[in-house]
Amino acid sequence: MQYLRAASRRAIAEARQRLDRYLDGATEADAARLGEELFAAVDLLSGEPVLRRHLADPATDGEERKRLLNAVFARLLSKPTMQVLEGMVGSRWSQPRDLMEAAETLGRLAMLVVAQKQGVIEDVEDELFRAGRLVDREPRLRSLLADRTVPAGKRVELLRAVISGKVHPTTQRLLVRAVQAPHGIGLDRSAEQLAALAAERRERSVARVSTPVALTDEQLERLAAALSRIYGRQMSLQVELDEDLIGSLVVRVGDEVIDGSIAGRLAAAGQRLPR
Amino acid sequence: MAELTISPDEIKSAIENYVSSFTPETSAEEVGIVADTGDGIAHVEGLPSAMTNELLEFPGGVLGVALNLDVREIGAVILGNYEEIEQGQQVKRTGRVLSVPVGEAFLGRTVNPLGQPIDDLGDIEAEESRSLELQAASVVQRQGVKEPLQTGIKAIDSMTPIGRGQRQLIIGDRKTGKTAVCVDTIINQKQNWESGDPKLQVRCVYVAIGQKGSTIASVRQALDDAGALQYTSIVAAPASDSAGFKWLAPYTGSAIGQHWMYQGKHVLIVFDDLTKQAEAYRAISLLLRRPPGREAYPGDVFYLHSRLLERCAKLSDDLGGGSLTGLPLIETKANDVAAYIPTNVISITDGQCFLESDLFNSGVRPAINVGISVSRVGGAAQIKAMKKVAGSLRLDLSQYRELEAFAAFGSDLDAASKATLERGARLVELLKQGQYSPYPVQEQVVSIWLGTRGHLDSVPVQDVSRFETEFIEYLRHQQEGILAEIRDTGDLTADTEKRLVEAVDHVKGVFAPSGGGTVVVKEPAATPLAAAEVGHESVHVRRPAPVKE
Repeated sequence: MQYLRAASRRAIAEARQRLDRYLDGATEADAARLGEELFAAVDLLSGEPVLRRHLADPATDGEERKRLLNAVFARLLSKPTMQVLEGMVGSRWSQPRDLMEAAETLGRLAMLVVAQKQGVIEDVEDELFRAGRLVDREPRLRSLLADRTVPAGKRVELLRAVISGKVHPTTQRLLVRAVQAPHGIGLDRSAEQLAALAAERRERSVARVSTPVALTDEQLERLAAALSRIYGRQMSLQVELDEDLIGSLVVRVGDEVIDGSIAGRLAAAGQRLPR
Repeated sequence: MAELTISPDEIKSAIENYVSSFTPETSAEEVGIVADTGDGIAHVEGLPSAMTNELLEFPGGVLGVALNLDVREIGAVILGNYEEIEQGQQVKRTGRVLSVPVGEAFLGRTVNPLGQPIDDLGDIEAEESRSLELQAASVVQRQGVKEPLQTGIKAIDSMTPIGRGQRQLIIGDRKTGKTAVCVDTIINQKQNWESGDPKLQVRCVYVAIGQKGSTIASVRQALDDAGALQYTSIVAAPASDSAGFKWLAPYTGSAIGQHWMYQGKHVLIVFDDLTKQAEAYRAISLLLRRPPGREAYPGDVFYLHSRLLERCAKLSDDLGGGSLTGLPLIETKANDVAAYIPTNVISITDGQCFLESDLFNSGVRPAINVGISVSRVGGAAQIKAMKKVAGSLRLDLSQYRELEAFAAFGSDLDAASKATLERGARLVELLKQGQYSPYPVQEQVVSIWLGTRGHLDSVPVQDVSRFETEFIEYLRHQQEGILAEIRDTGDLTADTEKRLVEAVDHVKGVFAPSGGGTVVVKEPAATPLAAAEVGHESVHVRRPAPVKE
């Protein structure tokens, strides 16, 4: 997505957290429906710059904006989607366009969660990446898919002719969406970004554990259970040995680090010593 | 799932199927929405097939030009009243890239930069619609400039002559007479127009950019009073117009003129003035968030003027031999010709006439600084007679300017310097000219002949102007043969010169200088020296013989 300023970055981070909390407990069907409804909302907003502006107007009260949102969308969308959108509309955005693009990103994330719940997110990530490379290699295909003077339906047909039957349904849905609603980005870059999102999603369930001594199976199970409790979802572990840690563990989940190692604590103590 | 391996052949066949099956629908009308607007600029979302410089239609019939085609929105300049445009309004494509109607019916009319009449004299029947961004004539399509365009101003036609197809820049501070020079040039084409000969006739286009409404009205009135409006078109973008109009006005005038040029006719176009067009373009570019360069002008401000002025040309005979002569005006601040826009336009044009405010204030009008004014076409654009008489004019004047500082010490100078000063002062006086009084070329020749051949040396400086007037009156009424001969042959033969000398003597005989006395030169007869007084000196140089090796 385009360069985001501070307010929008914060708003989208909060929106993603809320989305994650909902999706962790949702079924496949729920996630798929949430994604499709978010796409529909974005499609409506992309043709209504005035509405976008009002929904993202920092001068008005957040409750007013939510009322406007409900007035437009409530009878069209389900409750979970309305909650996600209300949460977003209540935040402060740098530009009206950022609100719309954040909704698009959340919709795509929801689709990726469908793949995750099906257990195929690694494959989907790989397929998205390869699709991006493919389009990058074929300039004619890229320019035909990006020609906005041609109706979206025809371009989607071309895309389907190329990838149909060769990818997961989720991958296909996401690529078709990227052609229908490019938001100013070509398909090769869109596919790359989707692959990155998928990787991020996958990483959330992977905990990298660094330990100075090998752990027993029982210890690993306990650790996995503890982490799953902390993060509220099923975690898988990747363990590596690192003797420099002296004792205890370092656990990395995505961008977060839990450092309980003795080496780490010594270093922290050393920093606090007077010079 | 199988790996995503798709062979290039599969892709190729998919593309071929797609391209062959798809026929674009032309009936669908694309509609855009105004995303935001303000200060004469609007951003429009949608309209994926909009072209650069395409005219877009806003509600209320207001037109806009699509300038910035970004990925998600179009930056458009509004041509007209932008107060009525609001966010959320619908915008339609017109399918027309910026173009104006042109034709013969535009003579005598005043139009706005879209070609719409604003003089309340009814609609104008156009012959065709001409795009504003057409390329200028190529190298092969041109020929050299050799026909003169007579401005009727002695100072210009003698020292910085302008040819048909040339671009001559008129540059100076405000209120130095730039517009007056151009208006006089237009008025001077009246004789040519009345002759009916298409090779002589010059159609004129006066483009007023950012001028006061009252100034444009007074120029129009002056042209009308002199009978020049019948062969002039005026394109007006007064100061109250939006920046889009001021930016476009010169191109509109150029399109109108080029239409005649490509029909083999001669056209003169005056851009008054290009500084205001550059400023309007700067305003538009800054509002469209294009990166600013030197003096906040956009990077392509040179191209803005160069593609306009390159359209002035003399076409080859294959294309009809028509010409478009350009007189752009640039206003300097404090006589600074080294500023950005003046240097740009000086490097584009084929010469400049520099009007100085000091000269203007000291009474020299037209206030042309002969030292730095130049015409790169030069003598090729002068008739032979003028070349003969004006040859030494520049030199005499430049010598005069050098010595001018010593004029205060008149009594302490040697005879030669004094003569230079006297001659120069009379030449300066001779070149002064009133407004709205252009001189036909034969009278210019005669007038300059008076000065450069020294016939004015015996006339007091303050009477030079009156003497010149009386002399020309005499010639007009008693000796029309001389003037007619110069006009028709374009040359000044020795015989004609002799007759002119006789005429001068006659006029001097009856002329009454203001201080009394007479201007007839009575030199005492020369007496030969006695043989004994004649001396003869000779000098011998003794050079040693070259040393032999």
